Amino acid sequence: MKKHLLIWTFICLSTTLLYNETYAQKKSFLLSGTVKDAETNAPLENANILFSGLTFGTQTDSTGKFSIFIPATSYQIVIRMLGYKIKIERFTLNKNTEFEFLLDKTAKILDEVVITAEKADANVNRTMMGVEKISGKTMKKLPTLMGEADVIRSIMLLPGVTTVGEGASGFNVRGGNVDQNLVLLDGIPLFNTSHLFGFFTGFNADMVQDVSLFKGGIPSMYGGRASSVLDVRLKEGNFDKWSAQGGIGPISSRLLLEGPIFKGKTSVIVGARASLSDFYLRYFNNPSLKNSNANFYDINAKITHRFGNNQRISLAAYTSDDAFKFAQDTSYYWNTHNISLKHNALLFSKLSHNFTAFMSKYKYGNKGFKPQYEYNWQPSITQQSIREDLSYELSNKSRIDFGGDFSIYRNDAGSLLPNSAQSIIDPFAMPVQHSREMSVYAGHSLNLSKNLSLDYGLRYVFYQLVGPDDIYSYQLGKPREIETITDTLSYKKGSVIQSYGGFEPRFSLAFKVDSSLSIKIGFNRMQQFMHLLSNTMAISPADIWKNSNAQLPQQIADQFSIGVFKNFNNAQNNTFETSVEVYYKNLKNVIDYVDGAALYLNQTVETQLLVGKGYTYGAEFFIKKSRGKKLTGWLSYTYSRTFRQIEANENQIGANFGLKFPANFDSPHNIKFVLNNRWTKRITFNANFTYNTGRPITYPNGRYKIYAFSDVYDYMVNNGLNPRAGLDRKTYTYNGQIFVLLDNATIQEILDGYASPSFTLRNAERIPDYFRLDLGLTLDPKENSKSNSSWNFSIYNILNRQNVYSIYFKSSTGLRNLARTYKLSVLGAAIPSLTYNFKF
Amino acid sequence: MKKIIIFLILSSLFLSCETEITDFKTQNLSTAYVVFGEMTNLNGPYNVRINRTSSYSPYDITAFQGDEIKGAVVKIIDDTGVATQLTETRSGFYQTSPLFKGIIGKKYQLKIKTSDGIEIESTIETLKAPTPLYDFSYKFISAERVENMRFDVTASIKDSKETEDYYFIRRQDFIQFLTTCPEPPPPPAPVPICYSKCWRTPLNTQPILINDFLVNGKNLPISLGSVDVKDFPEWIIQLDVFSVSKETYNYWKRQEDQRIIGGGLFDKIPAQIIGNLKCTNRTNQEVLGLFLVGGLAKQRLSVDRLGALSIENLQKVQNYASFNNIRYKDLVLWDCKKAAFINYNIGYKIPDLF
Repeated sequence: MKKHLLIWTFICLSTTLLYNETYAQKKSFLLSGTVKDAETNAPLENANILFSGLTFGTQTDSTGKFSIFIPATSYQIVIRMLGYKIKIERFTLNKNTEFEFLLDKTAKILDEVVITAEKADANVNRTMMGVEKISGKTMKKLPTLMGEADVIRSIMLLPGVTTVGEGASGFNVRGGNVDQNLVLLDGIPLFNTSHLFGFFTGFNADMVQDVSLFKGGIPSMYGGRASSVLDVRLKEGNFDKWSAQGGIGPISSRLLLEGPIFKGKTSVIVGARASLSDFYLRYFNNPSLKNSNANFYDINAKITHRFGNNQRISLAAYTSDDAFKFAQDTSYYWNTHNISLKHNALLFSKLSHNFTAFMSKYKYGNKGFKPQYEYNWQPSITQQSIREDLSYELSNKSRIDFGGDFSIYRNDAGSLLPNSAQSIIDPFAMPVQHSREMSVYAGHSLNLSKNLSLDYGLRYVFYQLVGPDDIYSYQLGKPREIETITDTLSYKKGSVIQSYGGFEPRFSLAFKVDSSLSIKIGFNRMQQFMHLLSNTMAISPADIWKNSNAQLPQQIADQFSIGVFKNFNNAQNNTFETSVEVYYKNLKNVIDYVDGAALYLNQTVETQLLVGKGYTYGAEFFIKKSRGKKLTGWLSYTYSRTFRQIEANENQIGANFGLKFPANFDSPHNIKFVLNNRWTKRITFNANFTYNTGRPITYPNGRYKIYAFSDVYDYMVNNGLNPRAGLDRKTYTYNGQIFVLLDNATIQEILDGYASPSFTLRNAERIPDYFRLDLGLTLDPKENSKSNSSWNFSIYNILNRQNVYSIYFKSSTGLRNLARTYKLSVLGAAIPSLTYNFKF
Repeated sequence: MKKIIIFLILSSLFLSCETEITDFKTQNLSTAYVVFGEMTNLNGPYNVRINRTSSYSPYDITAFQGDEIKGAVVKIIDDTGVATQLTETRSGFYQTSPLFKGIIGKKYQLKIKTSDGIEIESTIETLKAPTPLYDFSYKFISAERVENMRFDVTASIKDSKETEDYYFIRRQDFIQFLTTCPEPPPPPAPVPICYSKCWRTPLNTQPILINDFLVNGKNLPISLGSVDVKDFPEWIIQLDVFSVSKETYNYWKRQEDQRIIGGGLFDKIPAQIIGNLKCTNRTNQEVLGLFLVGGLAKQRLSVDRLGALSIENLQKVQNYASFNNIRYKDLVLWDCKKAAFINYNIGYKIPDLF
């Protein structure tokens, strides 16, 4: 199979090169340049560059740059950007040429509302599908929870993105687990994206340039997670003048500063955000709350230096920290620190490169404060990577992207150490896993004809788990248990313990029926070698990551998709984008757990893990009004199903009797509606509506009692005390007065045991459906006002609905072991918030 | 106003909404057998109870106990093949002779054959040596108010360094109570004897689970809380410390984890808990419960509430008991053993320790 894939790739690439030779015979030159804001000198993304006499144009990237090969002749060039005056220039192209264009703003308030990060018709013209983009600006317009514009909360409004419940950390994309999403913050993977356990995202929305979510059609440059890629690109600092912006909200406040260190050459941007929740907690009389703490902060910083117009280098750092203690004897914490160095340049007229080197450390764990049992458990993951991405423009219709990366991981499962002189706890060492991951990729995008475009590529990943480590061998043919350990093998530093590898083909083909209609098909394979072990309802900050080993092969996801994209324009030039995407995803080696698995501080954690398969399928219907004078928004409906099946085999027991069962986040029907309505030039109204089928849950099918506490009952029975004659209290009321007397009664105690609900099939029932409506109003500054401050007022869950997060079953112990049923709503009320944002 | 705003914000974030569903009811769709039996190194008799599961109906007291399984053949077999058959003394209740006891270090297995041919077996369990308590004591904590006076009770186990140890501990309190005698009849009628001191034994089905992971060979404290001083008759605490296998410990640990589950974001997903029993002749027949084999050390601590009180405190306690009707002044009776209004009233004496 691998050999065939290689041959196939070679043929495709060869064909492409030949094809482009033919193109090159026409005399063309490279026109490149930068489009900037005339006032701030900030690069402008998504500016359209059009040429007289040509049917195609180009667009600037996030750094404001563009490049295009066009035939040598005289042109009138038109640069257009929403909110800016159109710029028209004339020139003759007879050599490779570079320009810089400065655009003047038309007015302070935009004439048109746009809720897309892309140019019009990008959804139809783009070869790939399953791609969603949101600009930082759109994100800030959406109604917020507690005034926090939030990246992950925003993408949850997109079709195909779900969550296991309100407040849960992470998100699920097209039936993938939370850990199967590759979340890149300016190219650096994050292992935890949450603040306050998952209520908020771990990075500052003010820093965000744009967000791309790849649900399918994932380009070959991405890899390492099985289901999706969330690529969050951060802003660069302003090269010409200093500015500041920020906001004060009920949960946190934030500040962003940017400006030149050396004007025009070196810029810096620093964004910081910190919570205020500890401050509030002190006001509570309830000692549990008063003694609690819940705080977080995050800081982003980036310095960028330009070497001329074609080369830049940047040094960036990100730190995020969370701590939570709810007046009990345990506190939780997690933090991420990373630093990265990037260099990108146009090496030759057609070849650009991006080099990235980074180091990232994710630490998490908890501390115990119970007297005599004080401890600190602190696992961590360190990743060191280098990465080179190259892009070669073969022609204006053909581009090759290729590159590779190399990563080293140090995954410390967390030794537990006593944390006070009085602690009686012994230190407990957990293994440190070392692994390395290498990948190379090549992808080719080309327009085969006016109507047919193709993106294809191949990525090869090679993974090694290496020493030093002690590895347990298990008896073959028997389910893994501590009792079936046959040997412990010690590996020296650097020696290979386990290797996995494989090709990941990526393919997207688009047939453009006309300028507003296209049909696309796609396939992509993704592999994942780091796995989050979590058998709780939602992932917890204390959940550990585990590298692939002999018992835990890489997870593999193959996704097939097909889509139809159709855009409509009405007389007012409003664009309506519509699409239907259908997908099927097959998952191999998904991880599950033995019932009640003990995952923490378990040196033989593989005895708790099960490996199985899964599949998911769905259809996403989407209509978006992306541009309009007043009204924009989108409506989506998704039907999707996600199943897992964990069968018993010679090395493991099964789960759910080997029968398939819905995944915890399986939600067949999803409706999402986002409305953005500009009432006046200053006031914008926003609304979100979300509906989804309740998630699966396991209900009891009966209950039972364990009679382990019957000594006294048996004593009474054996000694004639149960039953026996007695006198019991009796009351009666006479003339409004209550009288108490004793009356004959039989003393007969009921035998009561330890009550326990009996469960059978996993996730066979569902909690009630979820729906929520959020409303928001944004008040922008007055036209021509010197201040640039705005107010945002939001009400999250305005219907005050107590959406059920879970239904659970509790038994008491004592005289009568009642078995009770409760439902839990995580955010069970309407939550208003007011946020003040400023910029100067 | 500021406090109201802060409360609204934080209550929405930190105080999630928990509501009891009072009409939740499922039919008993399970066909599982529930077996519980135990044996230790002390003299018997030992019991094995066999029942069915019942429906999930929290308020129906008649459905508390699943149907008993009658007519089964129940045996405990040791590692030499010696089988001891249990006698069905009540419906679904099988018992050994009082002289039957386990021998430390030997292995035991429970085997059951029901009247309809279902065969159930436990795994083979080794009877571990019992671990006596290292410390079992109390300390009086005085206070201005009677409600705040208490006896802090402490106990600990001296864990063995050489072995990996797991403890399942049962606590049973025996609390002496005082009732109020009626006024004696006027002379010359004889004054009847009045029994006003009896014992109540509130049923406690809360196991205490301890293991020596991370604290191997140390003194392992047992959390016992405190005893109140709302009255001053005797209060006895009995601890039954079972040294059990890791599997037995994990079974109870899972039961406890699942019992106190909060349904929150970070709670484990509930699932069936299977013990050390299985049906050997019908693969789909589920068997719940446990055959608990453990070395048992029993010990009692008598908290002398009266002896610890100073005259001043004694007066306060007497006033408190009188004011709060601790001794049932409105329910006078000659024989406290007949007090049906006191749960688990076991009369004048408590069971022997051995």
